[in-house]
Amino acid sequence: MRLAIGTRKGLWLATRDGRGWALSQPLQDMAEFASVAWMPRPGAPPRLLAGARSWFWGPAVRSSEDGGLTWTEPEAGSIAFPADTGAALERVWTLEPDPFDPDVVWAGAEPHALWRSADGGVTFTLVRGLWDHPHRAHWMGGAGGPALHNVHRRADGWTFVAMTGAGVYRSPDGAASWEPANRGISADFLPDSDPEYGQCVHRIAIDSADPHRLYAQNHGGVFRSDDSGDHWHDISTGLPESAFGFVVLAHPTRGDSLWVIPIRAETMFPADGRLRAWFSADAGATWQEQGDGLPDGFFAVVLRDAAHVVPYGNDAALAFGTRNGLVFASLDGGASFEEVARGLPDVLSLRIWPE
Amino acid sequence: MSVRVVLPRALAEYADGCRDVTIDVAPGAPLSEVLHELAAAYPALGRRIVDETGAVRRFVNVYVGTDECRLLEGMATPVPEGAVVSVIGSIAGGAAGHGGGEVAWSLQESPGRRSRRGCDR
Repeated sequence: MRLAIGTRKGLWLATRDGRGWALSQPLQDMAEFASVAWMPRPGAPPRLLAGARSWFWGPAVRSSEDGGLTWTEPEAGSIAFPADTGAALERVWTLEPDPFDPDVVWAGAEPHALWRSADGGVTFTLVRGLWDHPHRAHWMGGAGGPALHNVHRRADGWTFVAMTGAGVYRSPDGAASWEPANRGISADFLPDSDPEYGQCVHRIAIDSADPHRLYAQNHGGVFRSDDSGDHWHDISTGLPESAFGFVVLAHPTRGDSLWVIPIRAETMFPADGRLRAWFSADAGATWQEQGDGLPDGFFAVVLRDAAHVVPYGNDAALAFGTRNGLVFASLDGGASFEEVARGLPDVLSLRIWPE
Repeated sequence: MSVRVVLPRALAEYADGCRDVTIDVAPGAPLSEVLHELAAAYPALGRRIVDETGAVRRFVNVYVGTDECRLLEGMATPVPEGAVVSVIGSIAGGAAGHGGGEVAWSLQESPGRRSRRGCDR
């Protein structure tokens, strides 16, 4: 098992063998890595993609065919806004290989934009249907910036995205046309707390058994939709107070099962300084705290793209990194966690390769 | 006329290892033309200096002679015959994530790029 770990300053790999976890030297230059992805390639090692951003020299998407030893990018660049947009790419917040097309990779970016690559993540094209959406002028940025940070594809061709200061948008037609899908998700930072759009949904997930069931970790509260986003309702009861957070992960093989990592909105720390995952096996009706191997006296957060889950054995492996440079992994569905790394810069992104 | 462009060490890898390149532009050309020609010859270098809107990146300073272009006429600053254009990362040593490039990686050559003159010094 390998973890790609993107941080505020550098990219690392962690590898687990029979003796435990081993951490690489820092890979890549000292840029920020807000996004990483493993792209499966039949008959070949996975391609590792990284959304890099130098504070001086700007953003780029780079790829590695050899597990991160060497990297390449097109000389003309991998991703840039067309001239007519008048926009400049600030940061690639997420890279998501399409689960149904081995050549396609999606990128979510700041400012709010969705990109599609048809060549395995080498070059990206702006998804104009979302860029040209009439709501765009009303979308806002949060503390991290105005970003599209989460992309999900469904087998029937529907695409769902989550955006800072805009909320959930969905496309039923292969990412051509887009509509907001936020009814029921609260926006307690707006005068109208139940707007059509403008929510600050931090991350969404699709249930592995019922593809019409979605989960959302909102700016305040965790929500569920059973109708592809037509309606949402709060499933926060039983979670620590305020149910703020950035992470929601659906179990990759078990329906109705999901994790969140709550923090207190007032302090941006976990309640009582206890870093815990919270798991539900009944679609959010009840929650169980999971903390074996996770620390107390913890005063940081886990960011939205810094957590990942994959099928593993007869359960799941999940891993996450923290803004104070810790990385944890569980190979038993969250029943216990191992410390993978400490002392890294702020972890911004993390993806598991299970082999 | 020929304009000498001096690059920081971190950007030399995008200019065939050169820290000092010469760009040919029309006499009296503005800075925008110099940077445009630089990007045409070295696309990976160009987009690290100027973003896709044509603006010099926030933490990059471009000097014409001894003055930073933002204190002159910006991209419209005339570049006199014999002037040196210097590209310098701004003072951001305490900024999170700052840094240059030290680790091996490569560029996939752009088929339409302009011919290059190579290092001058």
